[in-house]
Amino acid sequence: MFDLLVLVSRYLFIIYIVVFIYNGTAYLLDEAGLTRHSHRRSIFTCRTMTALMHITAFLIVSYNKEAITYSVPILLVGAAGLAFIIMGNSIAEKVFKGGCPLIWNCVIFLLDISVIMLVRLNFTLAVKQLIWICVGFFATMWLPFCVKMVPKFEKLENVYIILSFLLIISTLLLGSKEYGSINWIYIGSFSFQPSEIVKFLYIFYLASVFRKKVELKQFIITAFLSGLLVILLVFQKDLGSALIFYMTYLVMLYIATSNEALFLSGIGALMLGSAVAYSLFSHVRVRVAAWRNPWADIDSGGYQICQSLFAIGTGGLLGSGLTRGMPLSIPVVSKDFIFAAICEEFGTIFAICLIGIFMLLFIRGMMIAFKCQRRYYSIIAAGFTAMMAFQTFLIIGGVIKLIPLTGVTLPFVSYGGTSILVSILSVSFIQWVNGYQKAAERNEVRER
Amino acid sequence: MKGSKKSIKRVSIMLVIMFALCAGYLIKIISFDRNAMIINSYNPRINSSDNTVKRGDIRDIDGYVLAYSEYTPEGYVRKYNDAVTSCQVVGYTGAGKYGIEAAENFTLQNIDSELFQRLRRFIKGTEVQGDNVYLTIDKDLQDIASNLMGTNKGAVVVEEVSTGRVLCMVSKPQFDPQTVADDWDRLKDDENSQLLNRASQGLYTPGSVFKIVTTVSALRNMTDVYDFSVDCAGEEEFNNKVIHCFNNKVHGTENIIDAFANSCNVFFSEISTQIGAEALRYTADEMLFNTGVPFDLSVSVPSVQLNSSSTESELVETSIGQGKTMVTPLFMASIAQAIANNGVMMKPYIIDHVENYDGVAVDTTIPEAYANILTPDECDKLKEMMIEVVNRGTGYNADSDYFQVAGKTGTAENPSGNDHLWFVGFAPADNPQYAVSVVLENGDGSANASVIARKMLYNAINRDELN
Ligand SMILES: [Zn+2]
Repeated sequence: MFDLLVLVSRYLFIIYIVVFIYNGTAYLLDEAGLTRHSHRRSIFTCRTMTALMHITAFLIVSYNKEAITYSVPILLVGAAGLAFIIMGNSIAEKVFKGGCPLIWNCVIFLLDISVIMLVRLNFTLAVKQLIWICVGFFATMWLPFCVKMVPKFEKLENVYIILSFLLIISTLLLGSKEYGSINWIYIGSFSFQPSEIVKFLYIFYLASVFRKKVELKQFIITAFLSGLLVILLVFQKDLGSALIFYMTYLVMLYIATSNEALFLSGIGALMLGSAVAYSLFSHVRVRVAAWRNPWADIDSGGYQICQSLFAIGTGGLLGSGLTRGMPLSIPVVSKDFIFAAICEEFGTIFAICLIGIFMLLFIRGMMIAFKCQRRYYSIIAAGFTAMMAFQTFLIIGGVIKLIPLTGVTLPFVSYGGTSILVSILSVSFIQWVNGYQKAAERNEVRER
Repeated sequence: MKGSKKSIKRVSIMLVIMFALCAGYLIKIISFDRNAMIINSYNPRINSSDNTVKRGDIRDIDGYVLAYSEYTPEGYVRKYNDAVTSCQVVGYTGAGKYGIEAAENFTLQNIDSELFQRLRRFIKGTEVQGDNVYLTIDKDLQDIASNLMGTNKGAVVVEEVSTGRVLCMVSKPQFDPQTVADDWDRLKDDENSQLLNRASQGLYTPGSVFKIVTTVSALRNMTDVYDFSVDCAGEEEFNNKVIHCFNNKVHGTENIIDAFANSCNVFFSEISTQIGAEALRYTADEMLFNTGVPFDLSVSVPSVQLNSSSTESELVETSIGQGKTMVTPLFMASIAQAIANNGVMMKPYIIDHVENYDGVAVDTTIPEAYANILTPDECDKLKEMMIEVVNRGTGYNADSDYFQVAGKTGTAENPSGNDHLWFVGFAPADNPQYAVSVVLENGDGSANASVIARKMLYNAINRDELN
């Protein structure tokens, strides 16, 4: 009987996620003014699908086949998660006046996939993750309040960039090595990745500089400082962050200047820089070799990517069924490689739909940037969206061997306090921009 | 402000393209790379088996069940039905996996119409069953080949010329797949390496069967091959390396047809100095040495190690199949198959089709040309020479009363013990149906590779009359 449930669940999960995407897309089209739908109903359906997925998944992961009983702790976590799915939305919508409900729904769907997968992989991590999610949401509630506390924060560009460099350089001096990259700082038992904090400072810095018309002088200064930042990150062997910062810079510069030639020559410089990095750094060469032919070096360099591909390939279109695969054989499966575990057990169709949910999120983020009348805020929304999008692309593309692997986390889904906090805060800034714009529109109407 | 709106639109389009690429690449992995990717000993999933589900049967081409699963209260257990003569092909499951049990693990465990089958078990109590794999081998031929080889170590491969399907693949010594788990400690370190499929993975010195390659190279690189003659005195010195003919036999003045029939080492050493090391290596590479031919089971890659810096003694040794050259019996069968098939090497295969629980064929192997390694003209010339080998040369034991055999013998010297004995060929010569490759390790005279080849060709051609 339980076998049947696991079997049927493979189809159910696909139905849930497809219905979610359908309604999400309807919401997007409507928001873009192309169709007329009931917003409320789309959002309600999305939320229902998340709840159904949550219930189905917890019925499976909490079942102990040997003992033929349900595990009470897992059911409790499941109940807490369900409460979160139902309440989280409404609370977030109340705190963020004017936040987009579709974004909250996508975020909660992704967070829920994360918790389900982690319960299946390692229950302790799942509990920790759930706590981090709560902390993240709690912190995010204070965001509109904090932003109000800092007057004229768009004029603090120098503060942002100086802090950024201080943090990055201190990592180089004090940091410790993890998974080959020097990007963690430990203070007592508390550890964090300074490059994650720099993400926020850097976007604020660029938005502050780009809020006015970009002259040659600003361009040269930002290009120089960004280049320096990227080079420092490459020296820390944090290639993923280096790429994310660089691409975010290019996108924000492009939006601020609308200069295609500049953007394309930026891409050209990236190619050139990659070639230089390839010939200078052995750690870059190792990654590229593992990408081009992981099978040749399956014992060491190619091991991770091969195990990831085994999981994806063996799972197939429909997946092995939740709890039926062997995702624990993938290295770092709870962090960088969680997407491979999802592919294995939920199947490739579901995984592609999951990419679809990320796309809904990022398209909505870009739409907010598009609609925002105030340039500074518009650039901030576009910057955060682009940054998350590149990070998502880097790790999904890396795990499936589309591009060389760079060790970054999958936003909202990978295990890790820093990753969860940064993801939730990033999306909160986008929501805050949306709220600002909505308020501005209301004022405009009032003034007329 | 207006420009930046356009930029945001364009950036959005770029993001959509990036993620569409990811999705497209995932689809590519699943639809094209999947099978080649997941059948890998590093994939831990290959060793997983679900014993609540009836693993599919492995059957021979006539449907004879070689391996099946039987229900016990502890779950399904794997049984082998007189499969010793096909043990390395069928493989085993339990103490790791090997052979077809490993290569087709996911097929044997694949539950077709799973929802229907599980509901049916839930309601009617019927078995939930994986797909059955039908092989191209014929158990009768496997038994005959095993018998003919007796206690000799070695391998026999029979391939159908027009398709490349493998009708017989025997490797000796053999083991009992039923008791592998119990015998594991003895088998895994056994010096006879019974677990190794010598037919596809055993690397042997080819000896004189390599003269086929040297002949092709001579035809390609010399303008007057048929006018080239050598006076064989039984031995000759090349750059401090003395080359002997078998038993120091003096062959006298020969052209290439005589020398091929007599397997004259002096002649082929002499002609190789005319060809040169690079050209011989080039021909060997064109005939798929150093790349090999893909197969459903694991294969070793045949190798020729000549290059521009090879010495003359290395060159002459290679030309007569000694030295560092290595081949597998399966690869030599494919070479013979290509000669018999106007130069078109078919991709050899051993999985005929896959059938679901309901007896419906869900996947059938379609024969596929793999490479064009010889011209029809070269094939005609080789065939003529290979007929002479059987009619008046070293392969007289392969001469059949029923059809014309074409082939080449080989005796490969090796440092440990007696010579390895080879026969590679095909029949009937005028309308080739089957190609054969036989190798006997350290042949002690109790069996003869040419005789085994002849009998295997006879039984393959008259397969309808077997049982
Ligand atoms: Zn001679």
